[in-house]
Amino acid sequence: MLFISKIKLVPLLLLLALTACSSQESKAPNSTTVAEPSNKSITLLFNVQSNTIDPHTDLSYTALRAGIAETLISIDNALTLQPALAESWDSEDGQNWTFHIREGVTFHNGETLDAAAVKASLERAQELNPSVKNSLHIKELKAEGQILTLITDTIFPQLPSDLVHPNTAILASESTEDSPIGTGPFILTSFRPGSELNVERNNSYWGGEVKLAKAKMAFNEDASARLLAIQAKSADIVYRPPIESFDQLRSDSSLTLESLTGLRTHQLIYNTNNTDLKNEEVRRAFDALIDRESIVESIMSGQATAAQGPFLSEAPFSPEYLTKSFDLEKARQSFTEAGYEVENGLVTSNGKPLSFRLLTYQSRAELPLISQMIQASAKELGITIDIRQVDNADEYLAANDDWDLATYSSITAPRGDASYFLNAAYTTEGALNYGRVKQPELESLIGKLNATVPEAERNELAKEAVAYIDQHMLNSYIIHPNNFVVYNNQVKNWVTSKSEYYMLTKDLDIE
Amino acid sequence: MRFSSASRLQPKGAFHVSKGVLKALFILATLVLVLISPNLAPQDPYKLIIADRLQAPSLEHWLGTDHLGRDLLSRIIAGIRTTVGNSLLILAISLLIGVSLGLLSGFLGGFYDLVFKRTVDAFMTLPDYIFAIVLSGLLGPGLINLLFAIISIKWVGYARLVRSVVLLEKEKEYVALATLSGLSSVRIVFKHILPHTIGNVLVLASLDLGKIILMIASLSYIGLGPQPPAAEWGSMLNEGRVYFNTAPHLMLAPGLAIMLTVLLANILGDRLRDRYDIKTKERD
Repeated sequence: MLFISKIKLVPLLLLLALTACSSQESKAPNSTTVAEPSNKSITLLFNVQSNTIDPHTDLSYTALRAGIAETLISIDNALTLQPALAESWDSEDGQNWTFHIREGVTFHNGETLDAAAVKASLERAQELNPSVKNSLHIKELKAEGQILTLITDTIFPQLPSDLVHPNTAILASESTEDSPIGTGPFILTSFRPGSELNVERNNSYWGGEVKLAKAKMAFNEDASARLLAIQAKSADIVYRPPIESFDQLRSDSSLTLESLTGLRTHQLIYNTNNTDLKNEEVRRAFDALIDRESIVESIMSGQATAAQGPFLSEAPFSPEYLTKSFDLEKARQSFTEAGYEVENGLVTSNGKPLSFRLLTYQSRAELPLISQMIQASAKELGITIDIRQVDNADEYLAANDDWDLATYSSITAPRGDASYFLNAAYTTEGALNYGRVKQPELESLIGKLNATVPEAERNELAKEAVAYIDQHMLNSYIIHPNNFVVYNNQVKNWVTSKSEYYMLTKDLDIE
Repeated sequence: MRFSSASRLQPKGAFHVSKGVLKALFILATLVLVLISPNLAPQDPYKLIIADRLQAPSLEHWLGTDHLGRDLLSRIIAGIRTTVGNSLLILAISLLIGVSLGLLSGFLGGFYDLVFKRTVDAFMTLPDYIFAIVLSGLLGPGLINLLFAIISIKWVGYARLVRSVVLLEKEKEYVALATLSGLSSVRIVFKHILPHTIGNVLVLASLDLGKIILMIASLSYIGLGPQPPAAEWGSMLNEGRVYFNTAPHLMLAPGLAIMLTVLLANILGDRLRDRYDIKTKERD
């Protein structure tokens, strides 16, 4: 009897479980694709959650992506700079710059955009964000009508490309941390940190008519949830659906799947404060534990290219990278050269096995898998790797030092110029220098690069710097993943931005 | 999964003995499984074969492979030790702490008992899942911290139960007689009172086993348990979640494993309760 009554419970439980699943699907509002001409709206689901909205400090560039704020200069998919809020700019010596600020632009609060407003905004950005201050090298700003004069503290030819960076977006003086007032095609109406933001059309947008009346940008780090959202039509555009679902998505005629080579690089960061990882040979050994081919073929299903260095091999500032191969024997040799004992294939230091802590995060689903692959290869050498998953990798890496290795992903050359990444990741105060790299020789090369104007010479210097990084294995670059976006066919004029800076635009439309 | 046991009282007799044997066999089998499970796995549960990832069940991989190309069946089997083995460990330690404190408090009485009672009351006010989540969240993810968190809430039930039995037994004449005949307190507690608590404790423990398994699995599911690549049913569920659409077997296998084990543990608990004829509902 007892057993029978239990068995009766089983279908009930299954039913409960099923209803629990289905409620998740229906949770997302289903009314986003209202296609009335006057009241069109769109929902974009992005894979990295944003907890802040202030473009000057936000690491996820949300205000720019959502079309709220704009920068002086923008970049197109051919990676050339385009005038945005600055109509034109020039400098004769790479140190004294003149920017002509576009006329007839107003902020969302009605204020007119002039040089003084730009000056105030750049000052705010520098004050709130030290990495902006470090990257722009501004010594003096002068505003006169629509003319902004900018003097840098050194010769700084790549200034225009640095002004493309979302952190330099131009805001009105009344902006606060929670409500940035920009000049973009959309006005922020609500923002729920980590969850979603809503915008509405800016009727007086300088760039012309904005097609959508409203838009929602939501965040969800769970790839399956994003897949369900596009299938259930609760989102119109979804970033990075799970790679495993590509066949399914391609066979759905109501959807378009775009996959293009991105400018992003997944990497393994070595915390050089760790005594073992300070040693170049140890880093080299770890690099030999990364099976790039398998990652591209199996984990990414071919939607990536194996990375040899921070930039795509065909970039003009990429040197001849050293060949890197997945080779446990080579890893053992490197450990031997580094002075570790290798016996029966196992690595020890003074008789003790090695162990490291590897940080990873979920919002790029392949990173935890890559971590486990490295963990498994390291185990072959008797090295223990303890994997920790964190929620906000940027914040964690910057604030904590209790980790040794970290998988990370960043856009390395968003503006067709190597200097941004080299400065951010390899100078002592760089915003992305999570590995705490201190290499005076490299820094002086970067310094030289920063002070050189002619492009050919700059590329040569960048090559030299990247070759230095490569030779000393300061980081391991794993793959360049493709950028993939799936959207339903009612969406018009969607452009997958290579730089990933622009998502909601004035031309974006829905049928 | 608890029912009033009064209606299901079974006649005692030969039938009962065989059930006792069954139970003993079940426990023995579980223990043996827990001890040798890693050796039972047909393939190395930690061996990654990336090229074979997310395969459907086949002759080579009976339950298919997971997102890193590991054999799922082997991981489920290896998970017996992590999930069930650790549940048994938690149970054993909670029992040890709970029963000894309960015995002491009940027998010594007075001030000790008062302190004990208040402590237990304080613990009883805490919702167990939330307390375990908070504690293991504070201590950081990991198996040891998880064990600690669960033990620190689980001992209370046993202590309370044992204390109440001791209080009841202490008043009985045989104890007074034993005291009169000059037996030491330790002897009385262990030789005469302890056996009376065993039945109750066993029932509670077997009912708890299922709950502990669920708790370990739930905490691992939210990332507080053993870290990758550990084969643990809860964390396997979590890892499989990402592939729910494309490879549902990744979630079904550990899910069913948890369900079956908990079901078995609960049935065992219910049978034991019938055996010891405990009418009052024990507190958790």
